[in-house]
Amino acid sequence: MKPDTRTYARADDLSPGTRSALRQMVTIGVTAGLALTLTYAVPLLHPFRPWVPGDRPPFAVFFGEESEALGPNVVVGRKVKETLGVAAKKAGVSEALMAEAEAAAAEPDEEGGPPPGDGPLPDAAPPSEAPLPDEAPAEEPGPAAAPSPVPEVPVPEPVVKPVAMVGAVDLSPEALAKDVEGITGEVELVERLAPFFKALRATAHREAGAVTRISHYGASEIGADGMTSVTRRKLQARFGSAGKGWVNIAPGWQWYKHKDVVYKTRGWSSRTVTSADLDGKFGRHRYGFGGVAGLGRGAGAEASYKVFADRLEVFYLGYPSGGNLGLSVNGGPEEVFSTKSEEETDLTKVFRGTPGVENTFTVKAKGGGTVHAYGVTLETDGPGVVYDCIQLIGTRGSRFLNYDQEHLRRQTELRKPDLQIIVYGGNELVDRDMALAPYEKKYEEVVRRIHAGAPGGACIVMTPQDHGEKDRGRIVTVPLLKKLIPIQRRVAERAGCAFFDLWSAMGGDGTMGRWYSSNPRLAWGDFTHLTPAGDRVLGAIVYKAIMKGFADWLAQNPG
Amino acid sequence: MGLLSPDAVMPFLNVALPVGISFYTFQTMAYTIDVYRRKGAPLQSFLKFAGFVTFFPQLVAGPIVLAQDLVPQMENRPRVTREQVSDGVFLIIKGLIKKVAIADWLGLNLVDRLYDNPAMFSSGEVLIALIGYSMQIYADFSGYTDMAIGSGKLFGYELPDNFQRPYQALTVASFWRRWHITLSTWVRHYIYFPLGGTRGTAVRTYFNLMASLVIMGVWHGANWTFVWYGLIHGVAVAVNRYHNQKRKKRRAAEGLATGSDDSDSDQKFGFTGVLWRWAATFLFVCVARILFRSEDLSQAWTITKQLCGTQWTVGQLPWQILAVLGVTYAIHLAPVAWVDRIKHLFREVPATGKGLILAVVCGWMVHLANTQPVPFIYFQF
Repeated sequence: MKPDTRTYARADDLSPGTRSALRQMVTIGVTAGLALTLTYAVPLLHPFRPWVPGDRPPFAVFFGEESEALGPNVVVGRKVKETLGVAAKKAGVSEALMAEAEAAAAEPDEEGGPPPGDGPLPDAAPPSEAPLPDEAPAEEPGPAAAPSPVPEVPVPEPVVKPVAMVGAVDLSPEALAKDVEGITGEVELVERLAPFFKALRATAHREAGAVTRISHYGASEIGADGMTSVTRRKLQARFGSAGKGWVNIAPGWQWYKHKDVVYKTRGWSSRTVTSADLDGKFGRHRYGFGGVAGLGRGAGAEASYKVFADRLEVFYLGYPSGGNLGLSVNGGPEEVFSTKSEEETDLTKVFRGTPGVENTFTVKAKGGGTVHAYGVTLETDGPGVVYDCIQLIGTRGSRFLNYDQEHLRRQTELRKPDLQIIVYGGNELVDRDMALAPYEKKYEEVVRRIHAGAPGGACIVMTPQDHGEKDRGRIVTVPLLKKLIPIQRRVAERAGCAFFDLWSAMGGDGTMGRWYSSNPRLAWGDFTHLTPAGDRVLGAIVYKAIMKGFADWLAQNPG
Repeated sequence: MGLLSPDAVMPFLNVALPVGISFYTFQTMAYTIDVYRRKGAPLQSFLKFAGFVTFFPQLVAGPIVLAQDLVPQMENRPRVTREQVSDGVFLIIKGLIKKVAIADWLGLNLVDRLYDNPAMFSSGEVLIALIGYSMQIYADFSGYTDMAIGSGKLFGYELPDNFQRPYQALTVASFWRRWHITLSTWVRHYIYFPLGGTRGTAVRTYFNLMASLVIMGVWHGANWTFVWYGLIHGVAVAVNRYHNQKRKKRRAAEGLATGSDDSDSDQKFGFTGVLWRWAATFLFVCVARILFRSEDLSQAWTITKQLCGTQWTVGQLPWQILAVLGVTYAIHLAPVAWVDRIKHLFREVPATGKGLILAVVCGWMVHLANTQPVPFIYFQF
């Protein structure tokens, strides 16, 4: 430093220029202060109040939730590494659940580990006799089918490594207690799940052909087979896999995905129950088990499934001008059959691949008219668990009323689920002023219709996951969600279903805020959807809740 | 080979560090070195030294101030001008808008989503998110700096500029003369020159450059991503210098003026030349930030693979994101004189008007903090 040779002055020796500047500063401050005071006095300006009781210090709201964690050389946007305990506490979940999330964060999403429970089945049936192709009818126009708005969906190949189940499943209290470590919520009215638990016990005892089927219905919260794949893999690791379940013929949405199946599709015109646009002469309001009908006019539409399963059952509409469908296994000769039927009716057809190995099934429209195909199930003969992800992106529960009621019942009957998990309500939250009484009535009707085709099975009405919104810089639960929870509980009671309060099991009020700011991040910045790490946590929460109910039931029903 | 592995982890103590540690560490190092080199006299008062080290406007996020720049101002009598007050309020408003309306908004609605799940994005969307991150980090850091400089002005202190439109740079070397200027200057004075600067052989000069850039990278954190970040910037600056030296030799042989090292200012490239140099530099800076933002090499590798894909659609990105990016980059690339003009116009506004503008901006920021995020296209219905 240069030696300081200047003379110093006292504070009261301010120059006229400095005094003038200070007067200007005071005027600016007072004017701004008065103007901001108006935001408290005028109700219209209340959203602009810089601080209200309960807020962090004034204006701290400008710098977001994370600014406190950012030092000067902590790079913008990067999360600070935390210990498992700190991360779990911040997210408001148990350490066991946060360990799941960290495992997910450590591995790329699309290579999320081998689907467990796959394995060669010692008593698998040989491939069935090849079906004979029906006589191909002359080409005739079917219902108008607009070009598919959905592009071909490239799906990275999952790692598929067989893990053979050896011997019976360990159902000792110790093993079951380990399953539910870190549980955060239990299924209410759990005794209603007895039919499902019976099926699961038979599967656990490795009884021949004991396949336990679970169908999980939801909107974008289960989009791309996120949390559902986690629960599926956990159940299949525990009880063995009997295949990968339902997959649509036409995706319906760009991000339709099944994480344990390499699914490629093109050329189908998608008609979804959400848009309810199947209103032609045939197939009117028949959207299939998955909520998406694929219309294949002429030849060219096809879908392929590479999967560790040896049994494909295709679901389609039989009707008087139905076209032809062709199916090949592992690139072998194509078997063509007609979907023509004298009456309009829902049909299925079963094809076999090679047991104990990965098979590629290809389904093609072969002309002769328009094919209405819904989807396929990909299974083995068991024993094991199958877990369907019925993802209807952007759908409200009430969209199920768009179905032809008898068709929905029949589709469910053909699918034979032992347990239906029904999760709708997230998309309803945009309707802030929704009348609750009509909603309750309508949702009960939806649950009853979904369950109508599986009267011998069980069902769970599950609340939506937390949905957050910003409130003065904080992330809080959307108020309407908290009103829907008691309604859904009542609906479950009346419809004969069990109930699971997923929202509370996640952590309740403000969960999305905590999950968004945790490391690894569990929720996305829309405070509605979860990251793959969040899916791991949510899938584990559901798994533990199911296993707790099963453990309690086994304790009362030994055998 | 561990360095090359995506799973490479740098061993370091995971301890809590006090806020602003790197800034006042650098400031006190510079002070100590200057006193040792007899470039400045030691301060006689501990209070003055403490005041220099903990000067609050720039304590948390810079700019890095040298003692010879700040201490004389502290020792001077209280003095502030009307221009300083006006410019200070202007800079605070500008900084608030940059931080809240641009940086936080882009982070929440674009960048964090990419880094949370890169596999869900096409190559085009990854590239746009990287461009968005470059704007986010600039708006965040320079927003803080604007507020720091503005706060200083209100007390009559002048702090050095830290940014000069970095994304207008035509070379990577020029980028570092425009980005975090006080850190670059510090590294030049206290690392690059002591290492020998350009005084040794050509190889030694390139080594000095690389070492300086790697140290700048590691300043951001103990992580291999920052080592690689510094390294690739070092290579880029070295390549830049090599071409510059070649050009100088050629011009000298032709009997022309060789010009300075600042390849932005002393060369006439023509429109096409400017355009491709700007685009190449900008893209390099954006893509290199994959390493800067990634938590580890594995995440950086995942995003790089995603960027190198074949899908170039941007269908998932809402129009609001593209609009905000377009507007912010248009402002950034506009001539500096335009902002100076606005600053001068602001000086002409009466004090009550300035107060009203400040209140409106504060209210707007509160409102923005409550604005719901933009949903993804594919989740809309």
